[in-house]
Formats: sequence, structure tokens, C-alpha cells
Amino acid sequence: MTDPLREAPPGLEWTPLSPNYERMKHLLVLGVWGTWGILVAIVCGIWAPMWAVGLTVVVFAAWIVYRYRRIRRMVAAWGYAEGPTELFIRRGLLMRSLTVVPYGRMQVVEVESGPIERHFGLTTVRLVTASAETDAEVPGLADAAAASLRDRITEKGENQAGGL
Amino acid sequence: MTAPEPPREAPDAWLPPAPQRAQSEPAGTPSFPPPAVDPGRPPQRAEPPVATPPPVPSAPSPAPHPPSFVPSAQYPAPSSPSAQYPAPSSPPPSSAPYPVPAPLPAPASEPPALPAAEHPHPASPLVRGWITLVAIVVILAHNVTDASQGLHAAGVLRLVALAAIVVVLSMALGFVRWRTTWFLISDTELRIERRFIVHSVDRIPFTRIQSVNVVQPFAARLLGLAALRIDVGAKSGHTIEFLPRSRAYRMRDYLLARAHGTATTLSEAAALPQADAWHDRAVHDEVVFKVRLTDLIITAVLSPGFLISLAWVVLAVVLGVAAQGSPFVVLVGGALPAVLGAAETVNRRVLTQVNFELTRSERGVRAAKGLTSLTSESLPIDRIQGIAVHQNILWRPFGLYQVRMDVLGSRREKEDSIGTMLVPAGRLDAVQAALGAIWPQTDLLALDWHGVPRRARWLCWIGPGTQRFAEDDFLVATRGGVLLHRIDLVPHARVQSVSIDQGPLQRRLRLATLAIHTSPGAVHWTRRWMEPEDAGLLCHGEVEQCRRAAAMTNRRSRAASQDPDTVF
Repeated sequence: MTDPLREAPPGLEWTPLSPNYERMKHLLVLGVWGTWGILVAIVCGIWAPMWAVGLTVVVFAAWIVYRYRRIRRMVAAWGYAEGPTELFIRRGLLMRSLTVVPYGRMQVVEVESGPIERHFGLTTVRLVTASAETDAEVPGLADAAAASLRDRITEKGENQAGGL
Repeated sequence: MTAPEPPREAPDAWLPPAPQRAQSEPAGTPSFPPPAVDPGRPPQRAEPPVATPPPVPSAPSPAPHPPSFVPSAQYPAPSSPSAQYPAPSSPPPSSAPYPVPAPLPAPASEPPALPAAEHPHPASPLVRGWITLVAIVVILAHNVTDASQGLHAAGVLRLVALAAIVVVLSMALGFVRWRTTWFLISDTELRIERRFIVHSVDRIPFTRIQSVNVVQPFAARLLGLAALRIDVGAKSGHTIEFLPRSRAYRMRDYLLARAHGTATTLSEAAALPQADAWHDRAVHDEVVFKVRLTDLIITAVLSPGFLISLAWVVLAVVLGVAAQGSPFVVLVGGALPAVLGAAETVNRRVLTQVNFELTRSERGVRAAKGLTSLTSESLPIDRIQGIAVHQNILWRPFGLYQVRMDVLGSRREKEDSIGTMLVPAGRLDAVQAALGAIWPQTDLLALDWHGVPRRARWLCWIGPGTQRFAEDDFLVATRGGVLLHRIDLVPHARVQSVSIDQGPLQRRLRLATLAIHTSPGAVHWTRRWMEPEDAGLLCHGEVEQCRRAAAMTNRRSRAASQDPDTVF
């Protein structure tokens, strides 16, 4: 039984994201959920009995551990494969999805990198078509890999332009 | 096209006294005074983009920076005989920075190779004024019910005076706008220029045209005028307001031919048999579908919007009576908004769609509709991105359907959804006729419809059996739904991307959802409850077919078109 959502298209390999992306996600999970946990604990400490603070800390700690351990698999689930005529992007653990975009349909290739991403040397590549429903983005690529991916798919897009 | 059109001589009648202007000079002669004399003409006119030579690809730049100041008459462009603009007293051509092919002829001695840019019809401000007047009357009519208590003679007088001022102002504005608008439709280009507050030059490549509308508001219809709206896929279209009706139709036909990739010229297009001025129907056009008023009324009355409004009215009255409130409070507070809502639904679904007529012409389809104002939208077949057929459960006893098509960047009309109407209300034979006129290679009923696996019932409790899927060489189709039965059709050549999604429950049952993404509009193509393997195969097959179809249409349009715009 082949699972089209997991297995690479025939003759292709999934290219994984940069290992730095995993590191960034680890940091983000600790930072974001840790901050929320501390805030909620402080609020509880002011207006609620002590056991509520303890409960908050335990719940948030458990959640953070769960998210933290999950990140490796989530990042591993992301991947893209460059076919000769289209780009495949897979992602998701719980909600899995596979998006296929023919190069000829691309209108724009967006490359962007926020401050945290820049710190880790990461870049997001996004493909824009004439459809608003197309959700084709590859986050967490190393800068050089993103630039070369962008150049490759732009060139293929020019050669195979399908227009509207 | 070289013959001076009536509207080009007419402007003088509408202008403020302009003694410098020779009334009877032919169109090609430099009849304009030096730019500084005419207050209506901005000083930049001396080097207008009108005179920009076509070889320069970035023509739309309103203020090109030539190496030195050159009066436009020196540009070697064939459009230089836009002789209306250069001042006759401008410096002689001495140091032209561009290679001038021959000693520059005096503009008057040679007929213009291209028709110069021109203003829209001079009666346009009148139409604008009328539209404003109607808008004011409508607004007053909406508000007068609330205000009717304290209304007395002086108040009415003040209102009328106010309305008159607004109308006059809007006409004055319309006049300035008319004076500062130029357009040019020629064998090589389509350009609209505005130089009012914001200066803009829109140069529209023929091959980018998605659809062309001829819009005739009531006042314009009385005056025999029509607006031309050109949609290019961006959010807002380009409008030329207003042209004589027959000219608008002729330009529409010409632009459609060019949009289709046909290399034709204006004079060739003018020689074609023309649409009848009243019905907008050329001789060999074939009427595919005509809406029936009763069908429109049924679909409007049985639409959710109308029924909710109706229920609201009943509720308000019942509650009002039960609470023994004063009739006035019940009426204004509860019932009136709902009545207005219902009226709005009727207006949208019935009045705007009255006289709807779908016509198949040589180069595409045309949808004309309207009671007092007339709108007709024309587009080449290959600009249709997808078609959605809807049937509300309440329409089913009557066998009525509604069909919409998606066109890139079509204006969001105030219909209850987006997309351009193809059949506002019609029975199955009408749906089939409309589809047959557009995509004759596909018969909806002859498609091989596949169902969904039985285990999908665990996830989809109501009507999983209604979900169907089919495909043929040309398109992919899904249908399904109980409350709203919908059929979505997308040609392979118009698929933008494909995705497969799977949630945790779907994975447990080994099911997946396939979605085909198209340009925004009424069509939302998803097929739920598929075997994942099938979804994978279909996904890859679809992408392959999409690529092949796109490549084919691309080759065809490239071969058919010698339009220089194709390089864009």
C-alpha cells in the first residue's frame, strides 16, 4: 500500500528542511509557550490559590515537553521534491497534505526571512499562482538552498509558462 | 476609422467659448492653439505620451525623459500625427535626438497613419449628472420614511436645492473629467489617459484582455451612449465612458477579436456585420438561452436571503402584536429593515437579471441583461476558468439551476456570490445548452460519474451518496450536496495547482480529500472521501494533463497571434 502523502513521487526524493529549522522551532516552543506559562502562572498567583499556580506550571510543562518532542517529527514531515515539471510539497503530522504546483503556473516566487529566521540563517520560499487557494510554501531552508531553489524554479517556470 | 467620427466634431458644441478653435477643420489638422492658451489642457501636453514611439516598450510613462526637450511633432513615431496636440508654433525640428526617417512633413499635409487619441463622447457629463440624480432620489426614498414626520415645505425646498447643487457639481466634475480623458483604440494599441488630478496612462496589451463589457445606464441609453469596460484580470477594469452605442459595440467586437489572438485591423473589424443597435446581436450570433421571468421570481423567492427576511417580518409582527406595541414601532423597528432586505434580494436576483440573454458568437459568449440599464459582457471562451452549477434544495421541485462562470478579475457584482452569471435561473436543458455552447466537447450527463467508498458514511452522515466525481479529456467535475447541490467544472488547462489533504479520522478510515485550485471565484473544486491511492494517481495525472493542456493552448495562441504584446 503506497501512501501518496508520505512517499515521494516516482523517481524523486524528498528534500528535508535545514536542521537549523528544528533548532529554531525548539527555541520558539520554549520561548512562546514558556512565556505564556509564566504569564498565566503570575495571574494565578495574584488572583487564585497556590494549587492553581502549581497546576498551571505542571500543565504547561507537560505541554511544552510534548510539543518539544514532537518537533523533530513535524520537521521531518515537511519536505519538497522538484519534479521535472512541477514542485511537490508535503507537510503535517496530524493534518497531512501534499501540494503539487506545475512550474508553468507560478506567477511569483516569494522569498522571505524574518528576524528570528535570519538569526538561524533560514529563509522561506513561497510559490504564488493565480489561485488564492494554492498554499505552497517551504519554510526553514538554508539561505543558499533557498536562493538556488528560487533560481531553479523561476527558470523552469519561464521555460514552461502556461499563462492563463 | 480615418473618417472623422461625429463625436469628434461635436465637442465644440459643449465647450466653453474657445474662439481659437476652428470649428470646421478636419480632424487631422493642428487645430489646437499653443498649449498654454487652453486652460483645459495641462501644459505637459506638449510632450504627451500620445507621441511616444511604439518601439519604446515602456510607453505608458507619462513623462518620458528625452535627452533634451523635443516637441512631440518630432518623434518619429507613426502616432506623431496626433496633430491635435503639438502647437503649430512649436520650434522647428532642428536637433532631433531620434533618427527621423525623412524630413518631417507638416502634420496637415499627410493624413494621419493612426487615429489620434480622442475624448469620449461630449454628452458623458450629462449621463453622470443623471446617474447622480438617480442616486440622490434613491437615497432620499430610503430615508424619507424615517424623516416623513418632521417634513414641511421649506424642508422639501431645501432638499431639492441641495440635490440640484450636488447634481450640478457632479456634472461639472464630469465635464472636467471628460475634458481630461483621452483614449486611443488603434490597430497597434489600446490606451486610456487621464490627466485630471491624478495623471495616468493605461496601455492595455490586447492579449491580456479577459472580457469586454458594454454598459448602458438608463440615461446613456436614452442618449444612445454606452460605456466600454475592459477587464484585464487586475482587480479593477478599465472604463471608457461614454461612446456612441454602435461605436462601443464595434470596438467591443474588435477588442475581443484581438484578445482572442486574431490579427485583425480596425478597418477589417468595421467591415464585419454589426450588431443591431438595440439588441446587441450580430447576424450570425446564436441565442443559447433566454431567462424566463417566472423562473427568476421562483429562484428569488426561494432563496435563503428572501426567506430569512420574510421570517423576520413575520416574527416582528407577531412579537409586536403579542407585546401590544404601537404599530409604528413594530413597522419601523422590526419589519422595515427586513422588508428592505427582501426588496434587495428581489432587486439583485430579479431586476438586475431581467431579460438575461446568453449568446454564442463566433469568438466567444456574451451575456446581456437589464431592464432600464443594459449590460452586456463578452468574453473569449478560453478565458473561462471554471463553471459552477448550483441548485438550492427548494429549487429542486421546479428543476431550476443557476450557473456561474469564473473569469479572471471580473468585477464583484452585487450578486449573492461572485462569478459571472451564465444562467441566472434555468432548467436542466438550459444548463446543458449553456455548457454545450461553451464547451461542446463535454456533455454533463454523459460523463462517467464515480461515487465514494461506503466507509465514508462514518465521516459524512448526510448524503455521502450524492458525492460524485467525473473526468474526461477536457475537464474534471465534482458534484454533491443536499441543501445546496453543486457541480464544479474545471478544464484541465485552467488548473493552477492540486493538493491532497488528510485529517486524522480520514487516515483511520484510509480516505483523503483532493482539491483542485483555480482562480478566485464561484468554483471550489474538492473531492472528499477518496481512496488515498486514487487521490495520488489522480493528482499526478491531473498535473500532467494540466501541463499538457496549458502547453497546447499556449502554442495555439502564440501561433495565432502576431501581436507584439505576446512578448509581455
